[in-house]
Amino acid sequence: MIDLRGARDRVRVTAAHGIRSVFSRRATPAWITLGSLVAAAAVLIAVGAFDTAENEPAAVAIGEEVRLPTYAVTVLDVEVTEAVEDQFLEAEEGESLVLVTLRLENLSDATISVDGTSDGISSHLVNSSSPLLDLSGVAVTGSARYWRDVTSSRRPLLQPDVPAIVTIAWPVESADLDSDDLALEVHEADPQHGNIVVASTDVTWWQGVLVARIDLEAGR
Amino acid sequence: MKKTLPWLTGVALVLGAGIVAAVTPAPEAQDGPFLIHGAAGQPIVARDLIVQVGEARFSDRITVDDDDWRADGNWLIVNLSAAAPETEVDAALRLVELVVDGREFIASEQPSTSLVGTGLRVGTDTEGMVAFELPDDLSAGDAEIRLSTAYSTPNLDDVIVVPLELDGLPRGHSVEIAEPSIEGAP
Repeated sequence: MIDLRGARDRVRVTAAHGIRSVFSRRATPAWITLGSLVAAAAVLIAVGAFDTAENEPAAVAIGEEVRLPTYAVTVLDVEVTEAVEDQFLEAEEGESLVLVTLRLENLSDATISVDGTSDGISSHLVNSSSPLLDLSGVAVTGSARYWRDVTSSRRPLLQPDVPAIVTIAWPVESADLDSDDLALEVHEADPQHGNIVVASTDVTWWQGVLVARIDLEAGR
Repeated sequence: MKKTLPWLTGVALVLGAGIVAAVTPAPEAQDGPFLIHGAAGQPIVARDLIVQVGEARFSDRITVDDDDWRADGNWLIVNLSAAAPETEVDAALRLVELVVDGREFIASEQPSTSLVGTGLRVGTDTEGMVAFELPDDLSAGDAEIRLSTAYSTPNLDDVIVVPLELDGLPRGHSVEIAEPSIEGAP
């Protein structure tokens, strides 16, 4: 026959002993530690340490400068056209050219180009799958062309700390221009040195966070 | 002695590791360019390039001949004389950099008559000019001109380096960037 009363007593004694241990003087350090952890967690939750990071790009107007650690950009003028004769540039059927004239300043320590590579530095301001300067509100249909002025035949170089006026022409779907949300998105540059495949002296400016959206509608 | 031996061994190992780390060449030393140092006014010979750096001066404007084009700014103009040492195939001065104040400026693409990209001859100097567009506040300091035939600073190949003292260089209002010319040609 099973002694149920004895087993119940043992459980009761064990539980009583456990409760006394938890609230005994010897358990004080553990309670202090637990209390500190709870207080620290409460503070972190209160300041939003566990919230999902959200980046809201700044709304910037034409003529206002967006200044980042690696470059600065100011939109000076916006134009929608079908052709740029001086540059022998013409839009395809059903497309238009969005011409944005910018004041660009390279704030790094070495010369860069607007796209492609200049002495080992790939800057990708335009013409990349993840460009630093990107049109939004329209479908870009091809590569952007850019020039410094009508007489320059070579690709503009951006010298350190020397501002340059550059016009960029994006081919876009003409139908998209009916909407009123044409904007230039400005991303922070994240320069990374080559590691394994690419030489350590080579630097690529990868697309960073979206920091500003410049409304181009006002300039059209 | 038994107690101190492990400590001494540990210290020796740490010092040894520090010495190995200190004498290990940087990555640039393993695949960087071979710098051929020279001086202005003297011909400097590299594997695929012979260059002599000539007069240098500042200007507030550069122009080119037979054109209305001009560009205002803080320009440093340098006269160069260059030739190919052995072959004219692919011989051109493609990368001309000015290193100053921790910044690297590539010779400007703006003047269409710059010597950059001009084909070079064997045994005959081609004389021309390059222009560097600098920030407005940069007109003094110890600089270096680096020249090579590659589009980018080469790995394990020659780069000619010429020091240039910017302090005291003359400044003019306007300089015309002359077309590259063959030495002795009319």
